[in-house]
Amino acid sequence: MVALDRNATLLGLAPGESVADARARVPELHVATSDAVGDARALEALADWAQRYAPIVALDRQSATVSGNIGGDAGLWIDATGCAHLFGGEEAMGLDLRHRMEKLGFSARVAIAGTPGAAWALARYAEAAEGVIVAEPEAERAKLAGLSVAALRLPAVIVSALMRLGLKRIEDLAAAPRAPLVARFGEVLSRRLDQALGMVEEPFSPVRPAPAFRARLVFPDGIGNPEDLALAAHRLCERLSGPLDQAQKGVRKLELAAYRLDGEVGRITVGFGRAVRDPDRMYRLLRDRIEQIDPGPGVEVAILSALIAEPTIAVQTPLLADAREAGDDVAGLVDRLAGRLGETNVHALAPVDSHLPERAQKRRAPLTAAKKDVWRTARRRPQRLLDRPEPLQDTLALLPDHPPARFRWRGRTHRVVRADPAERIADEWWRERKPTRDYFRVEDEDGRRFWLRRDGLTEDGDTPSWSMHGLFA
Amino acid sequence: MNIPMANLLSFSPGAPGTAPRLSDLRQKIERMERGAGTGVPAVLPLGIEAIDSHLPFRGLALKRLHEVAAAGEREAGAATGFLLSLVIRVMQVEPGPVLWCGRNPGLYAPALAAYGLDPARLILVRARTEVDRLWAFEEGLRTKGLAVAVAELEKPLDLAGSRRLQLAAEKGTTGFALRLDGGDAAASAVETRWRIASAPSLAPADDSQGVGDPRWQVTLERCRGGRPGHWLMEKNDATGDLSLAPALRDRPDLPAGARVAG
Repeated sequence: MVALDRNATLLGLAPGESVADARARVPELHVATSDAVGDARALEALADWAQRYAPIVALDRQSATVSGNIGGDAGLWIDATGCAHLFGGEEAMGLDLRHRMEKLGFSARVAIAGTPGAAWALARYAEAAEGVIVAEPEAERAKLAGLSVAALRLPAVIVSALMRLGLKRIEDLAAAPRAPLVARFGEVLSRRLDQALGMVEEPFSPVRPAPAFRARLVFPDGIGNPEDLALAAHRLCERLSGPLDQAQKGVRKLELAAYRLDGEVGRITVGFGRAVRDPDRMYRLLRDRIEQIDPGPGVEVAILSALIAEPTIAVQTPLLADAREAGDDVAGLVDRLAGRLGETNVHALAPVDSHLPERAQKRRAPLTAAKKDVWRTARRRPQRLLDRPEPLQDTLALLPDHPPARFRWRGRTHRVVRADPAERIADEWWRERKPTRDYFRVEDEDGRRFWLRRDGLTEDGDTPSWSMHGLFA
Repeated sequence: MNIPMANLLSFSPGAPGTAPRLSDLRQKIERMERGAGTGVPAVLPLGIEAIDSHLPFRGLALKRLHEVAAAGEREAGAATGFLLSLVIRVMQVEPGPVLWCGRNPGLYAPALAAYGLDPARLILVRARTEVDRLWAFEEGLRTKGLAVAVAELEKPLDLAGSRRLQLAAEKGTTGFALRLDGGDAAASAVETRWRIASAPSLAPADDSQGVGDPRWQVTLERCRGGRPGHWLMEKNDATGDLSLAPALRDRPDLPAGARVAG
């Protein structure tokens, strides 16, 4: 048995027992097959949803470490710092959270405390009338003191050993001399205790990094039609631009998250070629994508986050204004193109230091060109390189080391009139050895120029194969 | 020819490195643009007297739509080469990036750099459908900060579409529609349409069997306010200069008259 509900626990059953034993004691026990993957996914979805309360949400996978399953003890941490006032205080926020989770079909206990450790302990082990505990800073220690040492997120073996030693509650443990305990149970004991009491910081690994800039709108009754969503997006852009302006920053990547009444979350992300904070420019890109958000039964919270924000350069002289305006036009163009065609489909080219012609360039984001690009231009290269070399047929070479006197490509025969000497491409030695590769620039009887590639040499025991790899001007 | 000289760019034909100071050129272009209402475009001479004197304003009209087409499906290389020469010419006087739209433009930057086009100024757009390519092209033509917009198109531009693009270009950027498949052209509102085929090169200086400088048969199929024309051109690979091909030495002469693709 992996997890038990409240009634089963009250009957004295415990995780880890076999189902047969449990059935022997409680014949009417209801058993469902556990689904570890499904549970993990559900917890992640819940973490996604919980970002409506605060941007930093972390998963508690603690209970999963024992059996590999996330049982009934699964939890979430929400860093509510500076967010509770949006809900009318910490208690109201806790009640709202609990109430909404109930509507989504989860029974939950909520604790709000000064440390992740204390919140974890209180949520699981403290008595709470409404299922919500708020530990005011001055009362936090007292509230923890009476809890079982099991509330410290310690391995089960340590908990049972502590119980045997008579150190049953946190206050017992806190009062006991530390050194011998650490010597016996390891550093984890001391760390968990200090984390719960707020003596040491606990690193927090959020599901997604917290955005530096964020704006939020609430629609108690939910909104559904696209115009309302667009209007909300526009207002959010305006709200976001103020703080950006103050910080002299602009966004490179924006995310609009729509939290639906049924707990689903729809997200759209847009990118910008250069940092922007003009609300209208942000909005124009969002508007083009807004129909990708399915409002379902209605959207009740919309949050706009700057996933990537960068400093912008202030314009100092009016002389630069013209150039900047033109640059802004181009940046806006790149954004619109990327918005409709996809970010990877609008790109610039960057040099790669490789002997292999097909590796000598790579795609990179536009408008990021460094002035220092160095292109190897010593060799003759075709202005158009074919994506994949196309095999040639009926190649006739007069001598083994010569270019073909004629070849057939895409169904037509070309007679070679002129040809440059072969250029041998040295293989990069760290790659797997390939047949020797030679290139010939040839010209046919009409003056068309092709870049022919030969793989393999007769003298190496290979049968040379010919292909078309590029077209010259 | 009676043309008001104030409307001309004085542009000395020569190697790409000898571009006049940009600020001067921009001033001149601005001066010319004030005359845009009269329908006289800003003009960039190609630096080849025979062709410049043939064109209605003694050069290539800037901020207009032009078309370069391969004279057959095998002439994609030649058409690209001629177009690149024009684009490089415009890039010398117009600041900003070059937008190049296509299904999957197979431009090879190491070769472009050697050809005289700075790859750092290229923005490539991959668009799967012709509708998307045209849309991206029009967006580019409307944009003031670009030097040139190029679109590799797979269907002929129709009258309405080309008018729309021409209008967009007049307010923004010089545009080139590139047809690589050798297909026919329909009636359209482009400023000029050039049809390009390869021509056999001459033996290189060392008289070997090696490949010489590229030569193209360049046909001006359509020219608004001007006449069609045909030239044999050569590009000097070492200097980047475009010129009329010198008299043929060891090859039969070309058939007289313009060669039109079929």
